[in-house]
Amino acid sequence: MDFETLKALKPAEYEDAATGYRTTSKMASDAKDRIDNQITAGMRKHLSGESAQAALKQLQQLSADFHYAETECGLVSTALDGFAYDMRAAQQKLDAALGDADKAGFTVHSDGSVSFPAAGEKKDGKVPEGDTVTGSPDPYTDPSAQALRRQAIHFHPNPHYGPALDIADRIAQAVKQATTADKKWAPKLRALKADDDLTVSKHDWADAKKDTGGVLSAAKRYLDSIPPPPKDGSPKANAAWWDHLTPQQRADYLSVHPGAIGAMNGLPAEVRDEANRVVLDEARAQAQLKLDAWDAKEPQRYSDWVDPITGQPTQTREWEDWKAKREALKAPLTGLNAVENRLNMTGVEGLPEAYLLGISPDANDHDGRVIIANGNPDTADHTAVYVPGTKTHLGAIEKDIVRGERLWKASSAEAPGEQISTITWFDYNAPNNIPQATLDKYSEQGAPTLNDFMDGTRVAHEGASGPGHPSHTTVIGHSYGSTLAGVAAQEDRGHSKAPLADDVIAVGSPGMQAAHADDLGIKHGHVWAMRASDFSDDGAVVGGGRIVGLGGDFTVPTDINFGSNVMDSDAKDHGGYWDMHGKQSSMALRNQARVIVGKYGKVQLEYD
Amino acid sequence: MAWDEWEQLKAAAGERRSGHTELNQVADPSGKTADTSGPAVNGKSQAELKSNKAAWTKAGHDTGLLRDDVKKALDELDGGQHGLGSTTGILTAEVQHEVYDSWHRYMTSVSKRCGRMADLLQQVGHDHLKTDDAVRAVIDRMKTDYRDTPPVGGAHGHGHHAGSR
Repeated sequence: MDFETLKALKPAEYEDAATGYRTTSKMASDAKDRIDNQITAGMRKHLSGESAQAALKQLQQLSADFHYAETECGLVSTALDGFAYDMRAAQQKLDAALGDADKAGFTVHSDGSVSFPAAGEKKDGKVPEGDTVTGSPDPYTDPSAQALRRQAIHFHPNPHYGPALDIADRIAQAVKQATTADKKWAPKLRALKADDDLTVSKHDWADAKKDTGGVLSAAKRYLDSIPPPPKDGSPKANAAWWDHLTPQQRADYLSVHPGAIGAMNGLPAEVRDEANRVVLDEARAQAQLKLDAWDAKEPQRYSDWVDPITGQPTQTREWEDWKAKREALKAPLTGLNAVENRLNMTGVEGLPEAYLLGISPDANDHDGRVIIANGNPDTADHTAVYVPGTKTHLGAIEKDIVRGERLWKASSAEAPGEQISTITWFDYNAPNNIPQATLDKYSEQGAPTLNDFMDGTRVAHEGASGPGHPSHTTVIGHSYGSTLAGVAAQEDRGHSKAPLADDVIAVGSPGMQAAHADDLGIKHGHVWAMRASDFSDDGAVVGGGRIVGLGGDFTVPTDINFGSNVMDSDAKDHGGYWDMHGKQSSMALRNQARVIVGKYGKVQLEYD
Repeated sequence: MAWDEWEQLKAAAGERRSGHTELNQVADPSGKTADTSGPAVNGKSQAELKSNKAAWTKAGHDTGLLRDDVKKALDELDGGQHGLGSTTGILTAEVQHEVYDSWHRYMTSVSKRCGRMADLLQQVGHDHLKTDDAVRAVIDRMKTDYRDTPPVGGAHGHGHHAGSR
């Protein structure tokens, strides 16, 4: 880039172009939503058979086309905003130098050189002549050159020489700054070109992730001009921060920080969902590519040695080690695919839109993070948060997602016409068994996370629905999830002061670290408990928890003296609280649903 | 203390997503059962396409509407380009032009894809495609046209390849 080009450049034109891409990105996002939540949902509701499935698959690919366009055009927009910002900064420097030249009566030429007129004390009867100087962008790199330069200025008979050289240097610096920025942006922008084909592959998503990193680092200067999210990160502060950003700032920040936005409590569910869907697609692609790379390394499976007793060749140690590692790589992909599956299930049996409020394969010591809502919690009349228990991890998360769905269906059946949101919340390092669960570290980290999430749900709901209409909230803790809920409920509430939830249900609970329901800070009469057959593994969990002290004073929530409402249950075992019998919800499921929608009178209690 | 993890996984897999098996038994909400009369075509009777015509045509209609949205977006994308002056001497501007071309082409292709899908869905809805085989044939053609093309060389394979499709 040269002087004239920088002078003539209009950053606003690039910002206008950026707006065009941003609008395209928004349209693509809306189109994707319409395919996912309307078109395919309507088809799933009414249609079946091979043709419908094939057509749905094509529509899912069309949705992916739009999602890819949304992500990449969003990045193009941020890149152009970043470029414009960098050009403005260089132009500011340039304009200041040109202004000074003007004031001093110097002439600036089209190559950036500066002419100054004759001036100074007469020498030999003549006024020192004027001259033209060309600046250098780095006049001060070499100390001896620096000294020489100072000398030249000092000894020059024309007093304009020094100032003119200074201005010429500043012009050259501005041009170099612009040139460097231009060279920096061109390849980042080129990486954002559209793919040749309309199949969005895992490679495309892996590229998108790289592109995001590229734009993020290149746009640092521009992004630094956007006020960063608050350090203390309370949901209220986060919501206020987001509120005060312009639409352009929001779009640009989200495009380069989808992970941060997706995880930010207090932000609207739709915003988090948008961000997390990008995180999900990129994580799935990465997991698949890792698996592919590992598969390419498969060693010889069978050794040449034949077992004389069985007559069969044996598997090599190398292969068995390879296979074990493969299982470990496959697990997160299985979980991520289960999440993606739910996103494609809207409309099946009336399932509402899904909102992905948290997703990470590596969080929580690689147990992962999955927070997925059925129905929008920001506008729900009733919101239920299901907290799973020991051994939960991303690889096995499908059953927990299904439980959230069943809770939604059962609750909707109990309160037709009311807005319901059920959330599967897994965002803590889950212990592997009950004895291990006594280690403080699980609840120490998990409880504040749950509290922050509940607080964020409240704040976002208030943002969408106004302060006078909070959602009626229920936390359902299963197994160790109930222990976590108990610890969370008793934590210092901080500025929030609200209880953990309006209702708390402890299901198959080994203890809530409290001796009595009233210790949980929940409104009296709004703590519920349920267990399964004592002769199943459920009895082992509940009894085991009691023995190792996960309760308070060896009391667990289903004990009479705990003071909770113990609900009737037909659960056959520790995992059996969300069973369906054909299309009928089990008693255990129905009772949870009744609490969720506040129909307390209909709950069947054990001790009636 | 630990419960049988395998039992849990089995149970979860079995009772999982009743939706998947349910789909095959979704009744036509209009109350009519599938038409079991009619001659078999390609070995499949018309009853094989258990379908609700209205659902197909609605999906087709809505998918077709997406083209209007793409057109609006393309107008905005094009509009954003108008102010840009000469690109000489500005690398980023030259690249932006290539980027714009690529996205204009991409969104135009996506719009066409919407149109093809809309046509397919409408045709099923209006009984012009009567069998699974017929539908599959149309979709197979789409799959071929939209298949993933491997990138040729370069670190950022975005499917740029020397040959044309």
